[in-house]
Amino acid sequence: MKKIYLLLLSALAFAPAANAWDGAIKTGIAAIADANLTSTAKKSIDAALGGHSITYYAYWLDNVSATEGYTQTKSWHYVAFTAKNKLIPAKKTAKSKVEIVKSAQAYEALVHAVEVLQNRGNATKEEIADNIRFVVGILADLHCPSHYVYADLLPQREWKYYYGNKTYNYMRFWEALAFTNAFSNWRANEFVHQLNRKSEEQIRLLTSGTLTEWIVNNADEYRRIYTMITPDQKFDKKSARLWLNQFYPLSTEYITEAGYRIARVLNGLFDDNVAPVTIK
Amino acid sequence: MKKFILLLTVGLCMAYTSVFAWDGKGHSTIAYIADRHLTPRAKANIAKYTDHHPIVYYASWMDMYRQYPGYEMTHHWHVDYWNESDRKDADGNPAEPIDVHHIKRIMNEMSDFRTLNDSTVLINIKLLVHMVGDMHCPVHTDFPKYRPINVNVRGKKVRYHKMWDGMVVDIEHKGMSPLMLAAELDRCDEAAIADIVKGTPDDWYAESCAAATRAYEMMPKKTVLTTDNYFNAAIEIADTQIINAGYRLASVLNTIFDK
Repeated sequence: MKKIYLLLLSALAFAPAANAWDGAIKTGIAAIADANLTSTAKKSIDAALGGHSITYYAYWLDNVSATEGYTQTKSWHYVAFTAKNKLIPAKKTAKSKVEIVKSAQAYEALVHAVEVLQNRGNATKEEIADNIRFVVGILADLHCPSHYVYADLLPQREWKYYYGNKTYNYMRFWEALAFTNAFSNWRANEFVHQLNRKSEEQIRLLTSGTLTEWIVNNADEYRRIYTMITPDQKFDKKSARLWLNQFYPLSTEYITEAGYRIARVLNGLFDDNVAPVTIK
Repeated sequence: MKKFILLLTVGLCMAYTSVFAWDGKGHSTIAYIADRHLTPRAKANIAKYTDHHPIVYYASWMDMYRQYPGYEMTHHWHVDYWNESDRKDADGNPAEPIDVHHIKRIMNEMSDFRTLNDSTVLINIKLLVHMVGDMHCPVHTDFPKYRPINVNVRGKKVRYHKMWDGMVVDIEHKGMSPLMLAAELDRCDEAAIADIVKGTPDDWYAESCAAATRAYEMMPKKTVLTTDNYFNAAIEIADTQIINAGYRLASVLNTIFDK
């Protein structure tokens, strides 16, 4: 029995990195992106992925870090920011003694992946496929608020809240969004059917700006999750529902935005008729 | 340490516990079926008020906002207790079933929806999408005698009401998403659909009461144990009610918005 609990605990200990945007959320993001690829981009990307779509690989990045040659990807799920909302570069985060800050190297990994794809004439087939999957996985993660680590808000990452006599981890809430129940029955097609409904103009606005601006703006926006709870907040059934209602529209926006932006990056890379996304 | 792991385990399991009437899956399936049968004009008119969200986006909105400040009055619009003999309206007359009352009220108010302000129309869409579904859930046409019953579903003690809210559909259609389930259930031809949508909300409600009675009478006697045999039979009632609700919701919305 003790062994089972220990095994479970080991599995859960890796949960934050392995299960960002839990459930089918990342599949939904990738499916929205796939639905917004131009036919030219989709043809090239599906061919590069051996006939699979990007949706097929939505969780690939979360699962690949244990594979030999990919262990470095374990640090590619988070980004770190200063109190003044400046991105902390990976060369600095790597020296941190705080594990979560140390692993916040997603921005550089994303930029590198985009650059490899921009110059894919020099890349192998395997490198092209890997870097498409990196873009899909990292950009999805970087639209999940718990994947932003703020130097001034590190203690807040340990915040707990209570529902009935149970204790919950607030960061875990953002990764799973489980309590909202909103997405528990959704599969990829539900995400596309319900969320892929922005007008061309709305999509243009969501995908305008540079790759770096998206991430810096997200960092600014996602700070608000710490204003939506107080440490050790206690909920009963009614107050929990009132609290949760705040998240539903926010989370659907973040998910939708991620899908459109992944499509925007890939269209710029794989369709000559689409201007590439600028990195900085 | 052991205590912590146990708490964590229970916590994570709890995190996935469902709380919605007909559950999110049933309500979403109903809305998807309805969505497939909206006329293009009705769909376009509805989209003007929903910021292009499909109606299924609001399938469980009433469950999420039943206690939200300003919407508390809707808390009691989900389940009806119409057969309680002492239920009277302000004039002492037998009260109309609460959901039927509001569905008819909204249909009447929306008959000229363009004269209403946008937020009123949107709220009414959200209410109709949910209440037409609720009305078809066997435990939402509630009979007081069934209310306190507990059942044992695969070793878990739950309320009879809760079992019908979600478990019947979840267990019998495990692995199917609402969009898939809607496509699977939406197989009626035009004549059958016309037959299902004929009548009024009062007629539909009477049918739901009959379905609720059948669902209860199928329960194994002298025991509170719910067997798989019950679920196999119950899903036929659940599916029929979901299909009926979907077509009728489309009919209600088409009547309002296809003009």
